[in-house]
Amino acid sequence: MQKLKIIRDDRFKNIHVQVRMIAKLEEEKINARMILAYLMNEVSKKYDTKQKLSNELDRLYGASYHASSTIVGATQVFIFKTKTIHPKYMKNNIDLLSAQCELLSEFIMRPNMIDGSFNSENIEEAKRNLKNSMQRMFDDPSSYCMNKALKVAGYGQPLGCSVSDDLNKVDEVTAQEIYEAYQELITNLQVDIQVLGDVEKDAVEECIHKYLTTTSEVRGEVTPDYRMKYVEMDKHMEEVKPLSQSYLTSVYTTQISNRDEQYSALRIANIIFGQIPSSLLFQELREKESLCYSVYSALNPYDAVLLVATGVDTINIDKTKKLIDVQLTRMKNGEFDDNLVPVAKKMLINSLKSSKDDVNAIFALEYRNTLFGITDSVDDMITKIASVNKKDVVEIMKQVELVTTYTVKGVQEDD
Amino acid sequence: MIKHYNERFDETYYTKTLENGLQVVLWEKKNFDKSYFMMATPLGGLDLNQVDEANNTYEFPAGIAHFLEHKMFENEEADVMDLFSQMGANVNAFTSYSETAYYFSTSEDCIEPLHLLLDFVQDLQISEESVEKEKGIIIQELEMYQQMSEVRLINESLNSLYTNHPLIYDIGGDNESVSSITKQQLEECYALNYHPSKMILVGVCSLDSAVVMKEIEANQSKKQFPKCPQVVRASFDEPTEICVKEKTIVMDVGMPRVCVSYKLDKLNSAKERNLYEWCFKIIFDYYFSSLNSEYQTWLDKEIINTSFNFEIDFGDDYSLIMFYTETKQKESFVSLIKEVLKGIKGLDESTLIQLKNRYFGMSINALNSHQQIATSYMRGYFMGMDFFESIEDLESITLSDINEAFALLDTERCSIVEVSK
Repeated sequence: MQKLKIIRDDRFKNIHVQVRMIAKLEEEKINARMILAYLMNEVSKKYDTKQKLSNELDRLYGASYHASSTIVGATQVFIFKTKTIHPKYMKNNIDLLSAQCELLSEFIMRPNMIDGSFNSENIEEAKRNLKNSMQRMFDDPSSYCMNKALKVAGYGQPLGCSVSDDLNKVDEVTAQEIYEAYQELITNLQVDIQVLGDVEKDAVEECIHKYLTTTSEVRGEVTPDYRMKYVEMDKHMEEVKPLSQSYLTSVYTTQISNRDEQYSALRIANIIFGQIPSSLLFQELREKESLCYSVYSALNPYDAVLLVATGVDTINIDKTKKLIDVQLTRMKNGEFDDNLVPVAKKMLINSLKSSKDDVNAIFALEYRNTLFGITDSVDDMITKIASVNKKDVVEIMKQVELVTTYTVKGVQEDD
Repeated sequence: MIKHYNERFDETYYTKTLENGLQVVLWEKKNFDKSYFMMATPLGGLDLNQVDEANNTYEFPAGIAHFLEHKMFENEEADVMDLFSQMGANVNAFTSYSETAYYFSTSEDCIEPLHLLLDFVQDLQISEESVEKEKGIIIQELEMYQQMSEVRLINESLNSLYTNHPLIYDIGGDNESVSSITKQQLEECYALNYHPSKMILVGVCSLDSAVVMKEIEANQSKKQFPKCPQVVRASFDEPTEICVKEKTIVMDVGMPRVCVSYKLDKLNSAKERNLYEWCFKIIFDYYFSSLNSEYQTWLDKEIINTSFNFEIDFGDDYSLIMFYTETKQKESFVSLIKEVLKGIKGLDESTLIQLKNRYFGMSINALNSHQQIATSYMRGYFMGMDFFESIEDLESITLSDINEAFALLDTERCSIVEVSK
């Protein structure tokens, strides 16, 4: 059964309605689902041209509609979003909540299909859009490097599947596979609906019941988190490209899932390692050595993975790798200023408090709670963060292991 | 403190010009934990030649405003970023063509970081050694942008349109100009452009504005600022014609990018610039979007893709329009832009109303963001516009305004740039 979560909040001037559907990540279905999301972003039976959709969104005072599919850990999630301004700002009396639920319903329940098949031109366009977005990422050297690092380090695991490096595979997807992905979406995925804004509960329930009642009975079968396994491989992978700068991405396993008790300590460790100006990576690589403009560490929380990324001059690649290693060792040995722990905690607590003021963060937390069947509040998280100490940080970093560093080595013609 | 309440958008803010000339704006966002403060000066990447009331001229290398932005975070006793971190606040800064802005956000107490913001922006502490060290970091930053094909496309397009205007330089300068910057130049540029009378402080927070204003005044009253000449960007001779008609930049990209850009005569008043920017936006949002029934054909023929966009930028001393996309069909894209522009025959009343509704909704959306409020206020202030004036001007636009604006475009003054393998 689908679940509805109403978040009443009169601080924002919009009303948001979002539908999320979650599927287990299956490598052979990824592209079909991606194409489906691109397709459902553009057309439906009623809105079979972009012009018709634009006219409707403008009628609703610059409302927005967006569909996408994204890979989260071991799952693939479809998100359908609409946003309108609150009716109190309008001169005309349009029932915006009904209109946005109806719009979502048109796109989700009544796609542009004839005799069980999507329109072939729509499919071609969706494939083109997907390939263009992949090509855009390949053309950006830092994203390209990140992509390659995740692909090789996570090979055979969800992390490796989450990124694609082959445009041809998009073309190979058949109309039948896209149709099957749609059938799965409407009958076999867990559906969660979230509404946020200054809304009345009864009116929302009535609208959702009228427009967005789905048939899927699925509930609680998939969750996104898993722990990526450490696999022994070459620690230094490299390819050469005609660029004036070189890019490095290191991938580490943490063995800590988003739901583990120790996750709070890992978040603090990540901040000290490479998230703030006083972090080890930033201080040593940028401030002391002037090697780079940007260097950071980041968590892929649902994969139990930690990443480090930077862009440096080609002659400094080896020095940079060594310095990153040294900082990791310092983290593991507790060789950093004790004061960094309270600073990191303060930064994280500030960021968590800020998330209460951010629509996307509110949605993300609610959805995480729904998926895991928990009721964590921001304040609960803050309490856990507040109890982390240096020993916890050091212990957690001892579990962190380098899988590989992928380098895109920039070489210019005159080199 | 003057109170401003806009009934239609249901927003309240207070303004005051302090004794030292600092303009302060406090925007109330009740019931939010978050606070956002921005302090800015109208010194940007274009301000390389300045002139004062006595006609003295000041010349700086390209990238000086951006270099100064980097160095402001230095302090003899402690790293400014660390100090903000210790307060649980996030601090950052940016330099655009026309301004440099420093900002922080926090959900903790905002008063302590507010004092720190005022203190570090109003005190430049640099050494010869630290200036030299910063050069390596900035050059890596510029290299990073150089590897981004979309950034290269825009920079090279500006470079093709203009001959002498500082738009030909990257905001951050280049390796050579950055390497040449000295401590003395940074200090001189700072003295001329960071006097409180040139700057604005915008705060968006839930605290009582009177309390916050008192803190700001207490902070400012303790400081002395030496008198400084009032400088403005020097004027220069820019030919009417474009500099380069066509150019190809070679980069290792799988998908080429093309930009068709137009140089227009500069417009004199801020009001006029705002009005005509809206007019062009209305025309292009109709003719170059899904509202045009031809749009789908362009996508299907792959002359454009979803990256297609346009930019209308009317600054103090320049006006330009750009259309850009990823495409493997440069010639078709160029013809498309030229043909559509040639065929533009105004709009009908219902389309104008439809688009006005869209932009009104977008203005409402922007008021949900602390950052957007602060940035828009700051930009409007430096342009000489009130916050809600721009949207009010939009609502008064008529079909004849649109025709008048479109007549400003001389399609002969066009430059084409491609980035491809």
